[in-house]
Amino acid sequence: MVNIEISRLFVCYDDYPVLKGIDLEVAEGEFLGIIGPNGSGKSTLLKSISGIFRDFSGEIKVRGRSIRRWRRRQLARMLAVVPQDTTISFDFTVLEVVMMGRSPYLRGFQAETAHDLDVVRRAMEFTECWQLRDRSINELSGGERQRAVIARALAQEPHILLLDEPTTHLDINHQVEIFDLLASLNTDEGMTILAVSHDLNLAAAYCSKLMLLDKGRIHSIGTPGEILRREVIEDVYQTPVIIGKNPATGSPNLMLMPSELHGLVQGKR
Amino acid sequence: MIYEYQKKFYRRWATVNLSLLIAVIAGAFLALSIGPSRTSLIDVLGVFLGERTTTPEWVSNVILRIRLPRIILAIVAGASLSVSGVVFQAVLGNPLADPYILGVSSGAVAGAALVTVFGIGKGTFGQLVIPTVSFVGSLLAMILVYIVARIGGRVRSQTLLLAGVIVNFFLGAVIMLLMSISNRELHEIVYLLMGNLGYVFSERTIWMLWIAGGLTLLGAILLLWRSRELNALSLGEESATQLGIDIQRFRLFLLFIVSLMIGAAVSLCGLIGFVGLIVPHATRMLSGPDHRTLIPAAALSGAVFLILADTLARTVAPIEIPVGVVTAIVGGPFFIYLLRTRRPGYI
Repeated sequence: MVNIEISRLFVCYDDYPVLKGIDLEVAEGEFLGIIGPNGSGKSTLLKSISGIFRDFSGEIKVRGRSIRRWRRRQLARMLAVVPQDTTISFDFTVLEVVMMGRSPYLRGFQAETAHDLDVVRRAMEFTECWQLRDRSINELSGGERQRAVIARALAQEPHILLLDEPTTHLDINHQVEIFDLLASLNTDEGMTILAVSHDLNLAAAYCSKLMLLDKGRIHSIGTPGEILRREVIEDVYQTPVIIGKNPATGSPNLMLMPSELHGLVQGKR
Repeated sequence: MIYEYQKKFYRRWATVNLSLLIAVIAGAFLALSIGPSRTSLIDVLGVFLGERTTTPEWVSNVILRIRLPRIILAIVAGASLSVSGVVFQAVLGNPLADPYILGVSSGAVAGAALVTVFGIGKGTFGQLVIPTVSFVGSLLAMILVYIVARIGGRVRSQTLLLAGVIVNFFLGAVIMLLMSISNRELHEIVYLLMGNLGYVFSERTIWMLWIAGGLTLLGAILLLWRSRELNALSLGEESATQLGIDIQRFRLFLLFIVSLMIGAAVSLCGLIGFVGLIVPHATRMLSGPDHRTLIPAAALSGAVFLILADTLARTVAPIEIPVGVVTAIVGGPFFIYLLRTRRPGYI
């Protein structure tokens, strides 16, 4: 079953084109990594799919229905987003923040049911933040806060999860923790996941498919092995790289080097 | 588990709101008994328990005709200003927002001054024009602040405060222009600028107090109804959208309700500053940031705060000082304290 279907998507910010014709199909249960340089349109693509931008031309369909025709509350039960910026200005407790993930299911003056509490608790146990429930969201470390925000998204009981740079500003142990979490959501729960990532190696190690964006267009799409190739990466990022293999996972691994050695590598070619 | 969570929520809700309700009643009785005419709490109780035979008529007149409307006005204005502050802070995602600082109250005053100067606000119909134009004025000021302060979907403190300064300057100029072309209406505008609860209601105008009170109550109930969405909105526009809220429509709904509440209060009592800043902050320490508890709690504590501030204003000096002076003297330093101590994340 096709979960997300995008055809001829164009997005402009004040006459400046950001996405120039994206065609994409994401099947149910896929774990798609979206990579590409700054300004290539990764976040914009995510925001268009999640319905935050409605100023686009072309068509985006979620589960066969155009994004413009989804009612927001209905869409929020189908698709959840972990935004890039998770700063919160008020001292909500972690439990209160995760409970907000139930708001697409609750009406005014309606109390949470046992089911709501149950979903919230499972989401928090899954992301290992249940023991943080009475702490203020603003006292948490970056990794803990990210887990809490993911728990909020899971409390929406979505079929599709979108994440915008879920591991930036995190230490490496927390980066692995977050991606482990996503991988088990993907394999155990069959959740369709789209994650924008700056970290090409992490994306290659975890995602079943990578999409490389360049200047608002899809440069290439395929398995990590097909995308993390030297000529592809050098073409888009304009910097010499070495591609090795992660000895543990066998996934391609990208290495960088100081500019003074660039000539050396070039010479070896 | 569900039991534990809900018990905790309801217990906190009831504890906070019931104790504040008791504080409002106690504060009101205290304020009823204090004033230039010497009366005691016993007199107040006497008047309310119907023992009018034992209380002299002048005492019941002072308490029921002079002090009671004033205290009800304090309750209405305190509740509406502090609930407006709560809503502003949620809409802008910024705890420094307040209708006075952002120039929204000035918008309401400019509206009222406009009507006063052009002499439309006379007669029963005219008295309805003043709050209506105040409402329009505060709505326009709010939209202006919002457009100026919002950059890329986020409202930063710097731009927000700057927007407030600009809108306040602009509306200040409008109000001064109106003052300079006015004659006998000058003192009415000055009265609005100073912030005062001494509006004298006659038998024929007392209904304005009931309308203001009714609008405030209605507004608070509507906001309570949408309080779950207010919680989501205070996480930021993007998070709220993806939690299923139609931000555009919800924001319009909120701005409309809040303008109505501010217009109703300000057209009667003028510029009373910082209530929308001090009270929500103090209340959050008791109730937490959950709007389901915060909205009623902020309404009640706004009422207590303004009753006490006004009692102080009536009694501290040999002559009555405007209550706006009292709240600004307390509020200015409090604002600086907030500005200096909030965590760097959101200032």
